[in-house]
Amino acid sequence: METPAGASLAVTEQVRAEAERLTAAADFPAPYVSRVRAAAGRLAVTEGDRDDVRSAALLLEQQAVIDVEAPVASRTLPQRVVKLLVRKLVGWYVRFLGHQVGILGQATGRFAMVVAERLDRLEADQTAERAAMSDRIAALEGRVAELEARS
Amino acid sequence: MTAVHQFLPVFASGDPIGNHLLRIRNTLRSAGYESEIFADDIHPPMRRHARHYLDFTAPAGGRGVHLLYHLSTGSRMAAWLAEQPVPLAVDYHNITPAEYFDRWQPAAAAVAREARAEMRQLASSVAYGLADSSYNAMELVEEGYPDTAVVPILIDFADFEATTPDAATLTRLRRRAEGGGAHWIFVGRVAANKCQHDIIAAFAVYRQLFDPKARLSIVGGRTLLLYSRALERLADELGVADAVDFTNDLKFPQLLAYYRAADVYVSLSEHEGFCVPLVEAMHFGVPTVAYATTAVPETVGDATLLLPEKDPLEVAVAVHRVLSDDPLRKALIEAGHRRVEHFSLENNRRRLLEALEPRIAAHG
Repeated sequence: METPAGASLAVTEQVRAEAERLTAAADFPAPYVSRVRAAAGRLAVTEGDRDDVRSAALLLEQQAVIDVEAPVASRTLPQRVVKLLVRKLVGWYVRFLGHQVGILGQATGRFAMVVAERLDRLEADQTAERAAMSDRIAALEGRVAELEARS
Repeated sequence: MTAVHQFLPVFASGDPIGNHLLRIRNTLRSAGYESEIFADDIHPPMRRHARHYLDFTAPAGGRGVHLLYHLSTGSRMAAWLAEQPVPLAVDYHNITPAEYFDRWQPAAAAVAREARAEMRQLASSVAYGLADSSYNAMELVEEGYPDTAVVPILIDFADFEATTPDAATLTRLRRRAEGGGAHWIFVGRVAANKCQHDIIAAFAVYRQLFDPKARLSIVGGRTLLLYSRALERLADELGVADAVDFTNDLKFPQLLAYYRAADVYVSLSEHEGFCVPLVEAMHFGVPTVAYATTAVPETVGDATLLLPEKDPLEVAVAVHRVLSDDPLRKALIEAGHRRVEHFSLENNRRRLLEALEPRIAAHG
């Protein structure tokens, strides 16, 4: 992202001020705008670490939807007609298979999300436990030092 | 006679890079050079303009022939070109970063990564480079390419005037316009780096706050099927599905009808090596609003309302401002016409020859 120059800069500052004014207004549809931001944010490019389980699970969830309507766009009309014909002929079979593969994919995606959430919770618990343990060790070390100083 | 032959992986009709090659060929021929086009995959309408790249034979001694490779994706042609005993140049149109494909089409992400690696390997075999923008030129320099010049993509605006917009499409769009509401447009292949999802989000907020009858046309080929479907689901989720028009595989006269019927062009793309549609919109007197990133600021100059952020609310407010502030709208349109003149075919042909001729002379 670059900072706009000249006239654009002046207008964008006014735009930002106007956006802030609107946000503060009593009739501002805050829940809808939040919903829009969240929905668009879900489609943004993911740049998470390669071992980011949640990001991988989200990808799986996105990819789990199967499109059974194969594209028929072609360079020539005969090719397009053949593709349309083949799609029509095998449509019932592909839809039957696609439906089951789609369900399997969604179930797998759901499973991956549950695992990701569980991992997140375990990592959070482990971090908290480690912090508590460090505090306890520090307290014990302090106590030992105190006892040693007395003796 | 010196020859400058052009090479590209896929030669398709209606593609800005394909058109760019034809115009470079014509420019070179007018300037007294011999020039042919060679490609790996040549689409039927382009077969009369090009030959397969393996049909090219380098002259003995290798003098008097230069090869210009148009680099925008990976190709087996690159390694073959590197082995030719004649000076090799690249015209770089940018490679979309792989992370934009990771989520939607992992195979395409792998291709993009391979293309980057190939670009890096090719650097040591290249005598000089051309790039559509300073942004692209900077990437060439970063990858080790020597002696790089900026030559914007050659656009012939006369084509837009010589072709009549599709009457049926124009009538349909104008009929919809009678119901009121601003008509937003975005032109470009449906791809995650183009961020059509951000446009739909901003459009939804705009309808909610300013113009409940507004319409949006997402014009462009669907190259990423999963992303395309995610966009449709997003429009549905935000309650604007009836107001968003997704088009695929438009013919040139239909595209012209969309430009003619548009009130504002909005681009929230995150990665552009030049961005031809922004300049096309300017040609049609459509005011433009864009996210300021990669090559976009240098392409649009002062002719676009550039946004440093693309929060849906701010974009909606910016578009409302452009459409409701008459002096600003007129200023953007007038600046747009000046920008179109800046990129006129005549000016860009001159830039091309100014960049090429001294380099051809230097490399023999």
